[in-house]
Amino acid sequence: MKKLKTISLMTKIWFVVSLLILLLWVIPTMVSFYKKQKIYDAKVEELKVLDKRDAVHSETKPFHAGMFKKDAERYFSSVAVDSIANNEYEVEIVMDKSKISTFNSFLKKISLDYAISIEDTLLFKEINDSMSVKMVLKPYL
Amino acid sequence: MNNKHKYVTITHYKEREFYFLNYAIQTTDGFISKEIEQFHETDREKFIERIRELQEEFPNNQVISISLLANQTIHQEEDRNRASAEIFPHNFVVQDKIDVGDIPTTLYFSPFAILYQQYKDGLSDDLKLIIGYFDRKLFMMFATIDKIHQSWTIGTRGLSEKQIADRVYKSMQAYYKISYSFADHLDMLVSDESPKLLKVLREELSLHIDLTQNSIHNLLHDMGSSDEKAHNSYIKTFKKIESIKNVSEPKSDVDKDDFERKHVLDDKLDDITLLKNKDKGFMEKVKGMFSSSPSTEGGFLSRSLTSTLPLIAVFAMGGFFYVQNQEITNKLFLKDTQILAQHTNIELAKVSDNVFSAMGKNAELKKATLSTKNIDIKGIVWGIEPLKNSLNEIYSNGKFDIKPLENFMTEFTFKSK
Repeated sequence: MKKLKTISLMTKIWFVVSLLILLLWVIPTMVSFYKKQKIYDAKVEELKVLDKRDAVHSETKPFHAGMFKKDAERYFSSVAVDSIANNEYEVEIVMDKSKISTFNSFLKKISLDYAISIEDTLLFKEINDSMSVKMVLKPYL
Repeated sequence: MNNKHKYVTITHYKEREFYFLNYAIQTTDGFISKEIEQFHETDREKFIERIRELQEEFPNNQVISISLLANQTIHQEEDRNRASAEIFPHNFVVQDKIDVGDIPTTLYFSPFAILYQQYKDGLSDDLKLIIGYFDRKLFMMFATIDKIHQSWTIGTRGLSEKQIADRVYKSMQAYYKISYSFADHLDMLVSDESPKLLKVLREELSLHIDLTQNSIHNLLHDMGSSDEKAHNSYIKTFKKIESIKNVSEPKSDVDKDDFERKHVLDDKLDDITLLKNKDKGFMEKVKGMFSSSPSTEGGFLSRSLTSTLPLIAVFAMGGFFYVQNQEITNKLFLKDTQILAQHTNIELAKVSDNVFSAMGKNAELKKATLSTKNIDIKGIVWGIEPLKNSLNEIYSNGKFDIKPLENFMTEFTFKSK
């Protein structure tokens, strides 16, 4: 108590202000961070469950039209990637009709390989005994 | 008696590359000196730390040192622009500055002040040459009972005893020319063991020399033993030594408060500035910065800045977590988006798989719009009923239509609701 009295008024004021900031801003921010960190860890686990890729799991890459096209051409006869409005891309994949299951597998992994979401509509069309699929991709990174 | 009540004099000085440290318990019957400690100049921090330890162990202390600079002279008047100490009613010893650096020191004596204290009782109207031999330097002064007439300092490094004696003699001759007075008697105070020098001086000067030999530490302990002697210090003390000594043996713990009160009352505020600068440790300086006392360490600006340290620390911590929070929020958003996209993709793949499985060998797809909510497909059908049943299993209440074509084939369309 005696020592407390020797502390200057200005120092006391700063201590009180510091304490208020600690209680009203720092601690809530800290609590929020740790809560979100916990949720994030749970999301990572959830995604692991959804990840059915057979190959070595690579990190999710930002979308790049050229890389995506090259990647998809390893499985399908023809791949076209065109930029459209709203930072979206229209993709047309042409494949042999027997490759529908390959397409379905491809569909299950593209959002794990690339930071993209697919518009909830697939347009199938038969072209010269082959199957064409059109879809719209939206990168989110 | 516990250490808190003992009055202790801590003495130190530097000679060549070594610091020498000693302390003594002051009693009414004299001082009890402890063992001398020696530190190489490379261990300066340890040396200072040791002084701090002793100061903490014995709060009633004076830390005393000696100035061994050669350029100290005695003047008739005080020089306020330089370090001055009154050693005689009208004599002041003066040197450029107090040069103890960051080594704690509360009393700082000139060898001339020590010489005066040692020989003042023997002074008379006869002119005496008083010589002090400290750190290979001769501090010489001509004195009578009423004043010090002249002073010299002679360095002796590298000189033989005979050369030293010769210089002393020449100094005396020079003084003789000025004053027509030759010293009637010599007193010599030797802090170094040098019997040969004494012998040569006796022979060369043909004068009787009263020799006193004592260590610098003992001389300094003696200088710190009373107010009268401490008065000769370059650094003015604010402690009343006699008072400290008198109360250094309290009758019981009950006297403790009285002791402290007396100590505080005896503190004088004048001349405090110089002492403060020399006597405070790092922790004291830090405490001073937070203290409200205007006399404590650090100016207003310094204290203002220091007192904001907790605020800065809080902001730093808050800033760190704010940034971390923003980062995790972004990462969480991306992970949510990815999970949602993955769910949609899996659902779409499932719809596609179901539709093609339902058609099997009964139909061939020509065109389709598939989404997770509904489907709209069109194709050629060979097995109408199996196709209709299969599609209705996936999408009940869907609209299934067939249309005959000109080439004898049948077209089907299916729309889910």
